[in-house]
Amino acid sequence: MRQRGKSRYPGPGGMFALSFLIHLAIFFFIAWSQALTAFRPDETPVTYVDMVTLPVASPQSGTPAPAEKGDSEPQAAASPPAPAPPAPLTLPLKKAQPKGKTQEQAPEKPAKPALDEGREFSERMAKLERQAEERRQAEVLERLKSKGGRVGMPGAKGSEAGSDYSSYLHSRLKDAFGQVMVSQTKSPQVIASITVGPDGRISEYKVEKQSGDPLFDDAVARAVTIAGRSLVPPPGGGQFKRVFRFRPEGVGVR
Amino acid sequence: MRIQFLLVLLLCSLLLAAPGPSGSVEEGVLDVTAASGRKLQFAIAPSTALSGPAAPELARELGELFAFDLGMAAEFEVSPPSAGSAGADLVLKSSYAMNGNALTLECRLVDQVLNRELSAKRYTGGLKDLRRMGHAFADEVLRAVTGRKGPFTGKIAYVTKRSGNKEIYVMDCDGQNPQRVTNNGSINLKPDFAPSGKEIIYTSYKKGNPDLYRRELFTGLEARISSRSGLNAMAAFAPDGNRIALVMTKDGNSEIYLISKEGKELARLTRNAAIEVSPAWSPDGSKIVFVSDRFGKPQLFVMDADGGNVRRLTTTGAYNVTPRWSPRGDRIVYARQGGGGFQIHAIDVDGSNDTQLTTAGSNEHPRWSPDGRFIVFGSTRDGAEAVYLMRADGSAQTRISRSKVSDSHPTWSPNW
Repeated sequence: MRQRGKSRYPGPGGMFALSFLIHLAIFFFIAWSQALTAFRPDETPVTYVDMVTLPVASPQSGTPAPAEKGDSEPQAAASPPAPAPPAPLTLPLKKAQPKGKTQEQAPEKPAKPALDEGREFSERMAKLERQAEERRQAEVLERLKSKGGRVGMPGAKGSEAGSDYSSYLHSRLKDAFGQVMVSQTKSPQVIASITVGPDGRISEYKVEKQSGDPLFDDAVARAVTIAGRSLVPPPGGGQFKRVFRFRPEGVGVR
Repeated sequence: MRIQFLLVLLLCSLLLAAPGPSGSVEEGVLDVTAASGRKLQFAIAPSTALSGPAAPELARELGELFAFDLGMAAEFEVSPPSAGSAGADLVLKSSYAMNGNALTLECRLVDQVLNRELSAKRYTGGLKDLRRMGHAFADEVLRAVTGRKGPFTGKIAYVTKRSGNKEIYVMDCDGQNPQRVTNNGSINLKPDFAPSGKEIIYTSYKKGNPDLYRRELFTGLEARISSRSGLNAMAAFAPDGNRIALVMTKDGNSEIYLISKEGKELARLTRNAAIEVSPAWSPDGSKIVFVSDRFGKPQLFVMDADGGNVRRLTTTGAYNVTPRWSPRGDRIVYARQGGGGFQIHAIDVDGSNDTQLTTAGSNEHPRWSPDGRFIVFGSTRDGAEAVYLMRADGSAQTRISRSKVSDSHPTWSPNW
C-alpha cells in the first residue's frame, strides 16, 4: 500500500511542472480575455500637444516653435516642456530647455535670502534638475523614435517643429467652429468621431451624440466641412480617427 | 534544481510580459469650443422668373416679405437681396411663373457651406396668394433650420377704430392684408382664437349687454354663447378647444367661470370678494393664470383648471394685469403699470426671473405667437395705440399695424 501511494506522488519536480502548466494556462486565459487590445501598435500615444503654436496656414512646412511667442506662453507653461526636435534630437533641447528653466526660476531667486551658500546650493540644484530633465526628454524622444511615434508636423518626418495630428485637426476644427457656431439652446454639445483619410479628406463624420438642437448640430457639421477643405494627410500614409466634443465656450461638460 | 529554476524564471517573465489594464485605455475626447452669440448669415437671392415675363414688382414684394419674416427670427442675420449671397451660411432662392392670374412659386433653402438643399417647395395659386405662399415658406425655413415651424402664416386679430367704432379685424403677421371681421357699429373687444384658428370669440355690446360671441371666420356664422346679465368678457379658449374660461359678473362680483364652447356653464372657478379677471390657460390645459386684487392690488395668481390650489405668482409691482402663458409653458407675459403707463414683463412660471421687455410709451395686452418665438402687443409709443411685434426676449420691437387710428388688443392665431 505504501509503495502504491509513493508511486502516485510525482515528486517536487512533477508538482512544479504541474503548477507551471496551471499558471501558464491562467496566463494565457488572462492575456486572451482582457488585454489583447494593448497589443495594437496603432495606439502609440502622442506625448505632447502644442495646439496654440500650430502653424495652421501651412502645416507641412513647419514653423519654428519660438516664433509665435505671445500665443504660446500659457500653453508652454501649462504643458510639460515638450520638444520641438530638430534632426539631432537632443541638441536643440539642450539650448532651449535651460532658457526655459532659468526664466522660470529667475523670479524665485530674489525671494530667497541672499546667502552665498543658499545661492550655490540652489544653482547646483537647478543644474542637476536641468540635466535630469534633459536626460528624461532625450529618453522620451528616443523611445518615440524607436516606436515610430508621431513626432513633428503632420506629414512631416518628425524633425520639424510643430505638433501632432490630433492637435492640428483640433486647431482646424476650432477655427472653423468659430466661424459658424450658432445655437438656440443654452448648453448644447455634440460628440462626433472624425476620420481623415490618407488623402487628407474627411472620409467619415459620425455623430456619436446629438445635441437635440438642430441649429447647433448643423453648425458642427458646417465646421467639420470647412475644416475638411484644406487638411493635410495624416502622417504615415494611413487614416486618422479621433473623437471630438463640440460645445459653446464657457459651457461645462455634462 | 536547475530546470526548476529555469521554469520559475520563464513563468515570471511571462507574467511580467502580460499586458496590464492600462494598455486598453483609449485616447480621450478633445473639446472644440467657440464663442456663442453668432447668428446664421442668411441671404435672400433676388426672385427670378421660371418662365414667361419677369415681374420685378412681385420679386421685390417677395424679397421684402422674406426679409421681414426671417429678420424677425432671432436665429438669422438677414442680408437683403441686393447684397448677394457670398459668405452666407444659408441662401433662400425663389422663382415664379405667372399665367394670367395664376401663380406658381418655387422656393429653395440651400446650405451653402454643406452644399445641401435643406428644403424645396412649390406653391400654386392665384396672384393674390403671393404673400401667403411667402409666409408659408418662411415658416418652412424655420422648421428646416431649427426644427420648429414658424408662425408667419398665422393671422393677428385686433380691435381697430378705423371705421369709427371698435371693430375686430384680422391681418397678416407683418401688418399687411387687413380684413374686417365684425361690422356691427358697436363696441367689440378682446378677441381670442380657437386652437384650430378657424374661430374667434369676442365680447360685443351690439345687443346692449357685453355678451360673448363665437364666430367662424371662413363662413361668417356667429353665435352668442354667453349673455348672462352683467359682464361676459375676457374669454380664453382652453387648449382642447372645447372649454372657455371667461369673466362674468352675474353673481354680483367679477369671477372666473368655465363654460363649454356652446355656452353651457360648467363651473365657477373663483369665489372671492375680490375682483378676478383675465384668465389664461397653460398650454397643457391643467392650470390657469389670472389677475386678482384679493390682497389689495391686482397681482397674478395661478390655479388648477378646477379652481383649486391657488398660489400667487407676482410679488413685485403694484398693478400687474393681462397675463398670457407661453406656448412652451415656461414663461408668462403680462403688463405692469408704473411711471404713468404700462410696460410688458415676462416671468417664469415659478415666479422667478421677472424681466421687463418694453420701455418706450405705454405697452399693453401682450400675446404670444403660436410657436412662442414672438410677442405681439399694443403700444402708444408713436401716438395712437398701434400693434407691435417683438421677439420673446424683447428685442426687435417693430410696429406692424399701418392705420393711423387706434389698433389694440392683438391676438395671434395658430397657422391657417
